[in-house]
Amino acid sequence: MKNRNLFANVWAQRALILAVLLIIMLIGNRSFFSLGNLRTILMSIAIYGTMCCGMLLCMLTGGIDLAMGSTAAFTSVVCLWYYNGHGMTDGAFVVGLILAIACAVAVGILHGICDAYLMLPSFVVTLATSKLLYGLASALLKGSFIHLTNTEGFFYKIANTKLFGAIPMPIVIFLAAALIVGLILALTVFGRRVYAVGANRAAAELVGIKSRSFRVGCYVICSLSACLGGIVLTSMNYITSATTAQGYEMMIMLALVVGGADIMGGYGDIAGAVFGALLAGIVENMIVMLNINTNYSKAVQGVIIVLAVAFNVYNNRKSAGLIAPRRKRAEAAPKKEA
Amino acid sequence: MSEEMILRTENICKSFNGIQVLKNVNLEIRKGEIHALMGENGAGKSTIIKIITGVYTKDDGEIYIDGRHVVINNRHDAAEAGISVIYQELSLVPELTVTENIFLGHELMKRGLPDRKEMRRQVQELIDRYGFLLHPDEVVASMGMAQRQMTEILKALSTDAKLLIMDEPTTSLSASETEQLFVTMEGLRERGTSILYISHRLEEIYRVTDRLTIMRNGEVVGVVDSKTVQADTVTAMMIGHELEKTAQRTPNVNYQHCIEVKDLSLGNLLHDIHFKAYGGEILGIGGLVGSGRTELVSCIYGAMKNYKGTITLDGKPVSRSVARNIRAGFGMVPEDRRTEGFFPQLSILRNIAISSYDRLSSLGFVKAGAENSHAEKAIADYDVRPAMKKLPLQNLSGGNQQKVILARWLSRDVDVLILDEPTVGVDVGVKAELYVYMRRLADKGAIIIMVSSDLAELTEVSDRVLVLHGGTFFQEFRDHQATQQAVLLASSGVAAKEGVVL
Repeated sequence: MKNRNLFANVWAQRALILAVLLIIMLIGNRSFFSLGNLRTILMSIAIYGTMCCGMLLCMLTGGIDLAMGSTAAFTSVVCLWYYNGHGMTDGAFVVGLILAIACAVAVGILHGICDAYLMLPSFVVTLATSKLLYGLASALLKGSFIHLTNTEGFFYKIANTKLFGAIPMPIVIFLAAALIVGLILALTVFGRRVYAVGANRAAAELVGIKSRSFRVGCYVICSLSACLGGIVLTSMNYITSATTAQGYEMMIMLALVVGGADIMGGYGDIAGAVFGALLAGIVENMIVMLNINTNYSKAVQGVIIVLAVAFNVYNNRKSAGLIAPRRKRAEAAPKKEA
Repeated sequence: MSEEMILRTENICKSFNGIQVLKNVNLEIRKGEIHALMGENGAGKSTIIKIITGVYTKDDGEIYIDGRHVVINNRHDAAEAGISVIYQELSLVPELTVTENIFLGHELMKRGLPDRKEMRRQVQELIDRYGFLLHPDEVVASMGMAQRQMTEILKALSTDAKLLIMDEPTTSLSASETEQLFVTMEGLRERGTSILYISHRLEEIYRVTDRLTIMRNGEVVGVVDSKTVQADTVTAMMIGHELEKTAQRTPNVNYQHCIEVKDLSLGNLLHDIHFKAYGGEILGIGGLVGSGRTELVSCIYGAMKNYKGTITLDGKPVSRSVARNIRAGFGMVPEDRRTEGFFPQLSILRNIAISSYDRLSSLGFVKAGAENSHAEKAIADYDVRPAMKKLPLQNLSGGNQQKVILARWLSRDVDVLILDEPTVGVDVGVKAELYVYMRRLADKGAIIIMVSSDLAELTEVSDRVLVLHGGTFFQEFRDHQATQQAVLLASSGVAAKEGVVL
């Protein structure tokens, strides 16, 4: 009963935050509510939203991957470099994609081994590999850009077609990724075990879950989602370089934390992650629509995100019994005076 | 040693929530003596210590230091009165040197800067005076446990402590380090410092203490001279009158179904371990904390893999993989439920089902209906309260958390159940319930191995008790021969007449 109330509260709070923002826009700029603008918002979050889905798994098991952006950059550079070098055929794209996937898997395994087996702090390791991957991509391109020029090939079409002629492919990919990860978490044994490993590794080992290889697996999925994001982003922009998707890992982290995921693992869900990404997208869009001076836009984003995180932390502590219900505190107060 | 008292307490009483935990405790410690305080878990040892050191406030009674009446309301008052505690978990900062640690928080200053020279000189003086094997500039992190403890003692002495309280100081020390500590303690005694020493180990009490106060159920039951008293007298006083066993059950033991451990050794902790555990009986494993009991059962379960020797179930070798063993019908309730037992943020349902997805899934997909009814049945069968399957386990009481962990295994009818301290932090009512569930499983023919430090539990719940001492099994008690006193003696390496010495 208590738990159901809490759940209702979380969504009530999320609805409240959204309602406040929507009312502001109702007064500020009605064109915010157009279908076209909704598409703009979704397009702006589609790439890191897709990457969020992989990162969620990683974070649920207690890991963190700050090399998401650079993994996206490196793998997309590898793919497009091979593609351009081998006649820009669909066959070349497939080989390039396989190469990119292999790179992503290698990066994921490296992260997983460093964290789960060597017990190195994951945020340091992934920050280091992030530098490494940007460096490698930059060396491969000798510091320049690489363009996607074949507008007839499959590579170009990935991001530049519309489902039912209306929904851009990146949005479809984002929603599909969210749906798949959501279903994995809700319906499969793998999903159950992800939460268990994140909640208590030692206990997970004692119920027969190989928590280490599990965490490695989640890092691999995380890197694969970065690879997917990088490929779609390249297709969207017809260009990639070593600085593609730079800083996305921070947006991803923010979206997940705003969405209620616990950095320590064991807590969070896909609905929250999508909400977090959506909120970030809406806020960014609002700032543009309201003609807020760009000098303030980052600060406004920061304030809204801190508020959302504060809500979450409060909820988590309340459910863990760390904050006394208001009634009890009121009872306790007069005693002190006496 | 003089007859003067450094510390005297008079009729100390303390209750928690209406339950009296200390009844008129009179404790007398002489100047320059090492005085042991003994008693079973829950006898009130730590409560009286916490009152003397100002952590708890007493309900009634008086405390005298050096014959003067003192009021101790907080730790500061205790330090002022010259009482210092050496905690089990040392409170040193590993990155700092001996000198820096000793003066931490009350550094000597000279012209607004710490006067390192003077502090170092004072520490060196202390070290010389007590003859410790320490260097004032050594960094704590680079020292062994015994030296760290010495530093802690030195810190206490630097504030002119007249009474040192040491709470189980030897648990983390090796044999040679323990000896070093004892020599240090004897040195302190010669210089007139009194020590109140708390330990479960009888041999240490004999080795180093002068007198011994024994507590039971919140009362002092005797003060004896350590040099003359017999071990069995001490244990008898600690345990008190043993209840007559009610209705001796004869378990329906199936000797065909058994786990056999042969020649097991693990590092330098365990050696030459041989035993069999049979279906239908609850086998108790006794011994002191740190004697290797937890490690032994972890080897059987497959959670520790680096052992030598063979473990077989019905003649077939037992795997060193936990997952494989679970599929073969094993289950384990670990020692520390918070760190290795349950998943705090996850629901009761998921905590129960987590071990049984081999049966509750097909092709990797969870059969939600089966999962639900499995958990609901377990919640009802083992009376988990509140019976709300979606509630995160962290919101349950300790007893109910333990029920959930037990239910995780009982609900899948395990064939081998390993229990490590199954009722720690569980209230009496739930304890009795847990025993019923365990016995029911044994009656179905399962092998149950239970490690316990609770002597009443070990002697009353198990059908057979094996006691570990010195890295191997020391004594076996069959057919309800085990008495609390005998088990306690065997844990310290003293053979009691009832059991079979191995």
